[in-house]
Amino acid sequence: MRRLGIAAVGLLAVALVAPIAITAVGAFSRAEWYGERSEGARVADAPALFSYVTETWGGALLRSAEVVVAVAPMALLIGAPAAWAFRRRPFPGSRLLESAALVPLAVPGVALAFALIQTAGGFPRFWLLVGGHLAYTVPLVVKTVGNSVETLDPRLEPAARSLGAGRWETASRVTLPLLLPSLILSALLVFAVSWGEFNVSFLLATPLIQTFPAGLYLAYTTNSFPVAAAATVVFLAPVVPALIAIQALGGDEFHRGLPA
Amino acid sequence: MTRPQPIAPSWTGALLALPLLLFLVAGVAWPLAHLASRALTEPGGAAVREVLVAGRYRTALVNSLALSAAAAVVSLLLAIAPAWVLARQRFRGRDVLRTAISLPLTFSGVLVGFLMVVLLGRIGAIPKALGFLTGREAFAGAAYTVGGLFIAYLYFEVPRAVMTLESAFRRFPGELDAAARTLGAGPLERLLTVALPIAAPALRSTLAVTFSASMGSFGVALILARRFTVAPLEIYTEMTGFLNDDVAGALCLALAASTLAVGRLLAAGRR
Amino acid sequence: MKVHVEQVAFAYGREPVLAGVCLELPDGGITVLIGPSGSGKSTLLQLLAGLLHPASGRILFDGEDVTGVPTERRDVGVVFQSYALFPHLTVRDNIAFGLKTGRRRFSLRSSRRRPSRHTLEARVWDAAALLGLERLLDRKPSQLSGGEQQRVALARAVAPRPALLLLDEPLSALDARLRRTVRTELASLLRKLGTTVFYVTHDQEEAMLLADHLVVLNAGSVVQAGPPLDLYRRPASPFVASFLGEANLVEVAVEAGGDGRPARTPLGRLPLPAGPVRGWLLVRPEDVTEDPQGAVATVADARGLGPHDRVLLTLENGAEVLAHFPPGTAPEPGSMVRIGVRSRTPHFLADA
Repeated sequence: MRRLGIAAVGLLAVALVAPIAITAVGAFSRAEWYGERSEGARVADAPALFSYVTETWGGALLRSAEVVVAVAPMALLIGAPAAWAFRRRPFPGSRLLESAALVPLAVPGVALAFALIQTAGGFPRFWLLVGGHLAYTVPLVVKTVGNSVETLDPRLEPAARSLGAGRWETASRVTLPLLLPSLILSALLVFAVSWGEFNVSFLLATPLIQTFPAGLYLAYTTNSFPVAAAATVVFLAPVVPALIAIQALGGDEFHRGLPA
Repeated sequence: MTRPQPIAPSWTGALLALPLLLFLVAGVAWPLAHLASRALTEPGGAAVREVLVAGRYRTALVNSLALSAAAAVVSLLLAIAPAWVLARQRFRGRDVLRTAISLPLTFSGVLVGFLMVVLLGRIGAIPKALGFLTGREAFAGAAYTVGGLFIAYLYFEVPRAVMTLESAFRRFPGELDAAARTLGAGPLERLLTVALPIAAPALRSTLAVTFSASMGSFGVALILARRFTVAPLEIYTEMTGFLNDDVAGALCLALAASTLAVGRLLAAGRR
Repeated sequence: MKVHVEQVAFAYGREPVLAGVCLELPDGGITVLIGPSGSGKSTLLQLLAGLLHPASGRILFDGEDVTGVPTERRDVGVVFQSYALFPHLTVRDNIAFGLKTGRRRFSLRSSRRRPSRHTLEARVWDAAALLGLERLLDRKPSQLSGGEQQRVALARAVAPRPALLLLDEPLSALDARLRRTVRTELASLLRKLGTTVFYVTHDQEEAMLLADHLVVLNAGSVVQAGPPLDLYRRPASPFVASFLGEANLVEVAVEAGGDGRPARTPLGRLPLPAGPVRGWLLVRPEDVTEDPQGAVATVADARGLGPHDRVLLTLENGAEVLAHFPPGTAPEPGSMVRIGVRSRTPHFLADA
């Protein structure tokens, strides 16, 4: 019975990984195998494929990185202090606010993007993009840091205060180091979600501001399979190590994944 | 466990949570409210009626709802056993398998769509393999059918379901299972009478998560839904193709409202 | 049901937990397993329940080898230390759980089939009444106190009338005061049931109160087994002696023993076995009395504890002796007294 269960899990894992494996193979094999979907680069081997991808969508790659760099600290600053406050310094309405923090995850990205354009169309697109990404990352930060705060001994901070530490000192020498693993985990989660976010990003994109997933879309619809496969590998390269790190750090809240 | 609660409500707390409040209001609530009000007032109101009554939009919404609901239920059923095994059994390679199963969580929607095409497109891997084995390339182009989209939904939902359930099952008190065994319950009986009822809240929240994931899924639909339509696609075409803001807004409202409503419903039986 | 444990061994990974354990549980009696933490008591209980499989050895229920039989098919009831009540079921449904499962009991002799609905309700009621739970039947475990939960756990375990009842430190989660009252009730309840009981505890008082048959476990092996008073009065080793209560172990080493005739010991003239003798005399604090012909001792400390006075004495050779004096009779600290042993033949423990 036990063997059967483990076999089922193994089968599931294989079924999920197989398509990616097939695609990755495609990135490193010869184009003739797959025929051509439409016009695109007639490149034949791996190095040329990859440099083609990075040249064509280099701007998008950069843009994605810029968004991540903007989103991550903001998400942490918005979410982490609140998560700590909900547990250690509750105030009237803190419970409500805490559940409200999770609601954005249920809002379809298309709807949010459209709403943002309608309401704030004049804003610089980059910041609208950041806002959209924040909607799907801040809740994760709140949940992750919140879980970590729950497991902290509530007597540690009063103990530090009784030993003479002021508020800042307690925060920086006691609270923050204890929360560091969850902050790192949150940062990784934010990275993973923001890097692959498509729904909001695609709708908010302009010819100048495109994130890499949008570039992926173009690769899929206008290019030959090897190019698309190579683009996929480029996309996954930063995010797979992040996933492994998330798993290692016990990332429970990643079970929502990112919006599809 | 006694916890020293601050006696008075805390100003510090409110201050620390202020950025979150501001963000939620300015970045999410306000735009959505604005969208809702525009969609519901004339001439938007007419658009809402049109959306709910007229053929194409209604079809899109119904398709979204039906497909998302079906995929949520099926992915939950598929996820129960693997989640239980991952949570309760110890075996070598468990972490590897867990990482492999959670891999699709990092995939963008477009990527999932692409993978489906790789597998089941007109020159997909599966038809080719079947052709090689049986001489007939079955399922070629299946990716672009409703079935294909359904499978794509399953592809990104099953990992979500497995991970959500696994963390719930992990917190399941182990002695309850032992107690049930000493009282004579076999494995299936334990699953049905002890594990699942206790896990029911987790099951509900899993359904909510997977349902909202597929309702909002746009990238997948963009690539796969060629011969039929789902709500996010309609929104996109109205927005960009026809510049029909009112209809797009109404559709957004319908989509967001139904997703949130189902989420609320599933959470409702919580206490 | 008679239970035999034959040469059972168990290890967690590479760490051995139990080695060569042999036990016999008398039919219908209460066997108490006592030992320090980490001695393997709970492991042995889980092996009897079938929740763990022994690395070697056999377990026999009424002569039948059940070593390979899974828990669900063994005729056992278990009360866990944490109670493990089903939180989503009422007290009534918790108790009824074992009556509704598809139990296939291992022994075909016990013709147990699923009871009819009427019988089921009657049995639940009986179990509840036995434990005073009639008014709590519709509550959920979260609405019960610790003592009430413990009773529900017991009711649930006995409702299916198992042939063997296993209790894993059932009182350790209760506070000390409650433990005392529940202990006596539990003892009379278990005797009334008449089932074979295997009870694990680390509390010596509990063990003495409950046991028909007492087994001392240390570091994975059975050190001694028998009627509780036997073990108390004639422990097989210093470990058992000190584990089962306060013990004075007076070192004795003589070339020629007395074979019945009194020989000189630090506590006065006492009978010793024949031949060269090395070991200890066991003297319980309650056996130390003032004796004009006894050994000289200085009172190091005296404290009235209520039911008796606790007096610490130092003998001439420097050894310390703990004595229980009747309340109010303790001599002054610093004074010199002469003490002896009440029974004229204290138990001798050889240095193995």
